[in-house]
Amino acid sequence: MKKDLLLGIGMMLLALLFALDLRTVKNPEIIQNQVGVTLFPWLMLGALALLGLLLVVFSLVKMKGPRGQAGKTTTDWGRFRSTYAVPSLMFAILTAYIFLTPVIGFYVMSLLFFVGLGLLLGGFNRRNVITTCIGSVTTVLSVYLIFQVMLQVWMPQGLLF
Amino acid sequence: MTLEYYFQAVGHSLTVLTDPTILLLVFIGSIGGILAGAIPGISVPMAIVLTLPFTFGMTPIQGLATMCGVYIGGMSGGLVTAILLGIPGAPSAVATVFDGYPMQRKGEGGMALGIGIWASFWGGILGCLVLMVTAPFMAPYVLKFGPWEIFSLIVFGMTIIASLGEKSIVKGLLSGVLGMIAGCIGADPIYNTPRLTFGFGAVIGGVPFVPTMIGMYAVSQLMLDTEKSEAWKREVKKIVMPDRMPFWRAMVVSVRKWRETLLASAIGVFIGALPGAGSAIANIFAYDQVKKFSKKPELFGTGIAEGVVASESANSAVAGGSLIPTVTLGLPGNMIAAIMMGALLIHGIQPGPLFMRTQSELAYGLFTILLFANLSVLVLQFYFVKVAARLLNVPGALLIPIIFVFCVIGAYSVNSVLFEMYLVSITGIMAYGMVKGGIPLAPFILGLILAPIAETNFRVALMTDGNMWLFLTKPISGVFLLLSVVSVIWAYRQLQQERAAAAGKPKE
Repeated sequence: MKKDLLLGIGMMLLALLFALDLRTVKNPEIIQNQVGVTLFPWLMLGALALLGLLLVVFSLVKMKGPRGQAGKTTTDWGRFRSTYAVPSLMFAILTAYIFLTPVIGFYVMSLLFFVGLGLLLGGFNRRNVITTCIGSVTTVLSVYLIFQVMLQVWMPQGLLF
Repeated sequence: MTLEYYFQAVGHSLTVLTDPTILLLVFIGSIGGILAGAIPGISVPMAIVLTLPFTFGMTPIQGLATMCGVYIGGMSGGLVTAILLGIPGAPSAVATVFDGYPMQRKGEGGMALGIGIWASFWGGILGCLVLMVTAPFMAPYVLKFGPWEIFSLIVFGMTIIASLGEKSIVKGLLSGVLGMIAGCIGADPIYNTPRLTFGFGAVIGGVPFVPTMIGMYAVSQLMLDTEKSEAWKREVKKIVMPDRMPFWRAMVVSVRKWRETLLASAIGVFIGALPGAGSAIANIFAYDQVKKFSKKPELFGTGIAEGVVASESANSAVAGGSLIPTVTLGLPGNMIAAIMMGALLIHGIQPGPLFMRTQSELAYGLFTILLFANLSVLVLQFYFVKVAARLLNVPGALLIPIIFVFCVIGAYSVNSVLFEMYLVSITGIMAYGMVKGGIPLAPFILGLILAPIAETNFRVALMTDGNMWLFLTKPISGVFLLLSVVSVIWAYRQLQQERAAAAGKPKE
């Protein structure tokens, strides 16, 4: 329920953030008497804030209720870590891959990304290392031949190839 | 529209089958779809999203041909693992496990696969025929819809999608509204005035659709898959491949089960046509209904052909059903239809009330391609089922990086803009957070696609007549808004009943 409370507050803050930007938008003069360009977004932001508020109210009601008191649990950090460790690392590797591609170059980064992720997911055992290395080279080579040579799709190039 | 025109248009659409490129693309798409459907962890929407960037260099009909192949192939491909391993390759094949896997264990795996493939074919064909018959004749009535009716229809569609099958209606609605706000980012659809951009030039043209879809459906899904180590460190079960699949004998059995096929297909088409409901619901619901109508319901679950027929014909019939509202109303029936609609929008083609009239060649071509895609999947399944089964041995540690590389290529290759590549990462983590927070993704995507259409109609309605009450007092518009309220109340009551039932159950 605490999660929903935070989510509701987050949504209201998001609505506020968007509202601050929307306030700065001025309607073109030709449409002063017509329906403004901000009317629809305002309605949507209002709906977002309202739904966020509803989430907050519902979660507060549930937290105060008898089941909410009984349902209090402590966070199992060990389990939390084991659940989110791999997805977090994977996301970090993906983000590094995406943001470093324009600097290093797509093909080299793809090789590094493939090997990094393959080892993260499959471990450092001999079989996986060999599979990952062969897989990465084959994939990158295939991508190069199909996209760059055949389809003429140029991927970002950086310091290296 | 006269019958003469209709038959002329249908006859003319057959000419698409004389184009070898289109036939080849349907074949390639079907192979991709079958393989994607067979591998647990790769969903059909994910496969379609990854196909999307490849279709931009094609003509709209070629792009649709590829996506139709993936769609139909994916719907059918899920049965491979469902029958051979007892693991549904896609949510659309959950009910196939109930009888398909017991058949495999009894040594009738080949027959189960054959029946499943034929049932998929019949269901797919029936779904397409319903689409072909209903869409052109519905279109003239839909043309009478004004901006009030279209706006209210979108509101209705969004509320149905937001309230169907989710644990929290508020979160479903929240997702839809977030999608609508994302759809408002950039230049407004009438005067091109930028809004909600925070001065960031890359989004003046709006939030790019393809990278958003890739991030939300591929990246977040893979992150979710890796939470459970068994999902990617798949312990490869020993797959017992049937020696042979009796093509003709399976056909005879599937034809003999015509009552089950018809009932399940009708359910599939109906559920497919409901905005937001898809094959994941259809196969289980159809299985349940066919079981209820059966003279021997106690045999279901023990490995009988009827169970496989019910599930497979229903999930394939969904394809035709889901395209009915897409083609006639511009309101996608499910996620895949939404992605296909998005692809058409990128090509500057607007599915909706005018689609059957202004793009009749494309619309009728789509019907013909769907029929052909079913035929191609039928043939390919019999040859590719063993290849698909072998792919299950590919370790997740190899498969996941390959998918990621294709995600990045897909996002970048559309416009060759770096921001669109970054967006994959941003939307991926956002979608992952949404799923963890219990917020469904489907309403967001639909909101993103439908926002410009909703806003345009809303504003045009108010510019025509400033009276807001017209949305309620115009009969059709009023009915849609009333139905929206009813759908939310109905979903709320369903949830309450489910919670009460769950609370009444003793803890195990």
